Amino acid sequence: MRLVVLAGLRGSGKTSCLLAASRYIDTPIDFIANNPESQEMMSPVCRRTDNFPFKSPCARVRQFRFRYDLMMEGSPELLVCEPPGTCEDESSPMINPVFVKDRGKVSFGPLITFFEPEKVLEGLTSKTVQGRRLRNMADESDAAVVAHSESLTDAQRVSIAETLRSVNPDIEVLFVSLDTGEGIQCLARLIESEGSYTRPLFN
Amino acid sequence: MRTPREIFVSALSMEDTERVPFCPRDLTLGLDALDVRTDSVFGERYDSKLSVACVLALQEMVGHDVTMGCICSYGLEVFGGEMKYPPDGIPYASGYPFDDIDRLDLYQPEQIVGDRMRAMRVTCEAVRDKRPDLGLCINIPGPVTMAGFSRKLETFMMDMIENPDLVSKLVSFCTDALIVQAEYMSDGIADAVYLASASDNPDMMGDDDYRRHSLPAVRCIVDRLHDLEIPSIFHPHGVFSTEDRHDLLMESASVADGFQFAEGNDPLPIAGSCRDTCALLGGVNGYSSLLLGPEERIIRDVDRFLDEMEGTHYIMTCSCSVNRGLPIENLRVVAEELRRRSS
Repeated sequence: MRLVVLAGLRGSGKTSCLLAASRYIDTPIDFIANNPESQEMMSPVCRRTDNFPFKSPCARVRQFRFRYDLMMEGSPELLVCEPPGTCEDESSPMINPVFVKDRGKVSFGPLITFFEPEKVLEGLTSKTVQGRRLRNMADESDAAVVAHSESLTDAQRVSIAETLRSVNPDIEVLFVSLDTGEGIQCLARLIESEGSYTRPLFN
Repeated sequence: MRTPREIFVSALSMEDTERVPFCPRDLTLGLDALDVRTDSVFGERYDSKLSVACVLALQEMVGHDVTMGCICSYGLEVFGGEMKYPPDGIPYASGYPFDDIDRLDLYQPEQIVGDRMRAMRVTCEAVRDKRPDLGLCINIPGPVTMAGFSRKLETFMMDMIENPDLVSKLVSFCTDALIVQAEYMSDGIADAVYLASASDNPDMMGDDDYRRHSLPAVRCIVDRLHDLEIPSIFHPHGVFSTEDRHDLLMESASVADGFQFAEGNDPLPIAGSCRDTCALLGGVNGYSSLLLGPEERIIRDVDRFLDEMEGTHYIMTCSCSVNRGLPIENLRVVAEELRRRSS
């Protein structure tokens, strides 16, 4: 069984990119969405789905574990989760307790965080709440997925990758586009089989 | 030599202390110290004797300066809420007393003192009696946090948009109830009251609603506690360390005697801005370094906090509360590193 968490602010492309990538994923997907709308979007292509009711930030860790345990009762092969709550906080605090409990029997895939290009270019280095959130997310992630790549110039791509790596030198940066299909198969491989949960264990 | 309690009280009063005190806000971790089931303490009747034993066993193992006096939960059963007590897990709300808002008119804030709270008070009294040298804090929710628990947070957030008057009414009820709770639980035994305020959170509510609902209500509770000469610590969640939140940080830090920042904040700007405003609390992330270790990583993080909080009136905590499932050994590493640095 493999667990992969797709993090990122609301609207950053987590669910729509997963939906696109699901065409290239052979393993049946079980999915826990951040909200009922995302759950509904993914249900046609998933074996089972659930969503996280909105609760206090302190409840996120327990909430993640609770829904994860429920899904595990159905013996999933590939469990993909979005974070509970506002999606503005780090995700490793929710994953770590599950990692401690199940590291022997579950393959923990990379923590993948989705970013909107303009937020990286304009927001990530700013001394604002938004900038801080994005830096925290970039810092904990194994991989960054930058959506809407069709609108980016080569120079912008270089700048985005450099900005992300200035926060987290180990981060893998993947550009994806729902319009052109760029990166979608790579994203599918990342979800299904490539990479592991690493950065939060040592950072 | 001063006792841990005296050092904690001094730090919270912004006096110089010989070392940084350690207050890990141990809500349920004590259950692991004696390998006790959660529902053994939170059974049909709250088991005070067992709760005392758990709190003191954990303190013996870790050596922290301040306890929360009892194994804690935020039960709202007195208002018709439902709690679950998983045998090896953390208590959580499963039914919300005011999801039907008409039920609010059936209750008075004073009714918050029920059998369970009385038993928790008895526990705190016993801990105080057995270890008068230790600091003791009472843990209560922040006003919006309690309102979210009682209404269901998702519904409450919708109320903020659609029915602000209802929000004001519910927060006012919760504020009055929390004043009753704080007075009842702390009278004669507590060194401070901790307002654990995960949903009093500008990231979630927005700055304006945080100013409109959270801060005035917290001020109300703190003022009442000051009348009773009991200090308070405000622990809102959210990012406060960035330039665009500087004003909000100062308003939040000046509302109580102590301000605990949550995970996701950069300690240095908070230390720089608030060193003359209040005592500061915060510390190692409970769900990364403290949970996973190794020891070197924990020590690195403790040292970073000590270095960055230098020159402030600092009380080391963890990033939030500590609950069962956290390796006690890792918490002991924090206490040991603090002692090593002090010597």
